[in-house]
Amino acid sequence: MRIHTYAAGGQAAVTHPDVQPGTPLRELLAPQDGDRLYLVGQEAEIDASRTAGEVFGDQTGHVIAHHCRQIAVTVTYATRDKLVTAHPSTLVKVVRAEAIKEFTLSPAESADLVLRLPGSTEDLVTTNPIGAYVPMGTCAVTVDLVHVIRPQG
Amino acid sequence: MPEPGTDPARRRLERDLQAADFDSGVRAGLWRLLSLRWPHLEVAVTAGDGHELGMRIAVDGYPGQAPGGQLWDIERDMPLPIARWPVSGSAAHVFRRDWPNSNSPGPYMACDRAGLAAHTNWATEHPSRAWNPGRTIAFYLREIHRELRDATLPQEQGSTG
Repeated sequence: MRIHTYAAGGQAAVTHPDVQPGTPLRELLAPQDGDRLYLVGQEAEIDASRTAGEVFGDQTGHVIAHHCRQIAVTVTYATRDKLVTAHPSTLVKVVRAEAIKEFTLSPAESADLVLRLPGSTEDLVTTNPIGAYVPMGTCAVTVDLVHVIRPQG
Repeated sequence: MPEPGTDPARRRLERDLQAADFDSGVRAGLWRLLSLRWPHLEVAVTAGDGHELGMRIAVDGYPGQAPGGQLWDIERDMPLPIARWPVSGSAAHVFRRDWPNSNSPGPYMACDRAGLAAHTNWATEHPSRAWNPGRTIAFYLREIHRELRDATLPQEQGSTG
């Protein structure tokens, strides 16, 4: 079975392509002291001693090890800041939607908005957990909400 | 598992179809894989109205060469009739009926091979939107999906989608 693991500061997942169902999750993620494991997109903590087969059955799994219980996401849009709180396993697309709500942007205004780390030219992957973008040792991250510029002509 | 001697481009694509960014898009309902009939990948990308847009994507030369997408009627295995192309939102800018030509239209985007071939400045002027060999097929699909977020897909009469 295939398991994708995420960690704070890692941004990209590590893919474990051929995991035996009896493999404990802690062997895949090697959580540090204070880390807890969560299924991506879900807030309930999972026991690191549980096996991949017990947790995911025969499905592909996405799991994150993280030291935070909650993350303070400061979102900057057009020189204004708003604070959005999120769980480490919350998907970036959910954070984006929350930020758009905080800035009270209409669907037309927000359709082409993406999140980026400050100074980066790459969009955050909307299906990644926000916890993957939080630097180790902190429980806060700052992101920019920017409009996509489409090539023309 | 690819067989020995398989085209390196195909091996790389098959690896990327197992990667987290592709799987997470499937899991989130953004797209799904329909088939890989080398050198074409067929996928369904979910639009803002919940309907799926079929795409047939040329992936020869992947990832050195950008994917080349075409809107595709999955059921009939033929190009999607223009009457069923996505409308509203940014769709009209991206899914142009004349691009790159009316016989084989594709997305007018910097991640697509037709766009990049015709606009050599896009790669340097729009690096965040442009394909480069470090990209994966999931990047291409995220770009397509973003342009469909507020689009609607006209359905055939009598179709429930």
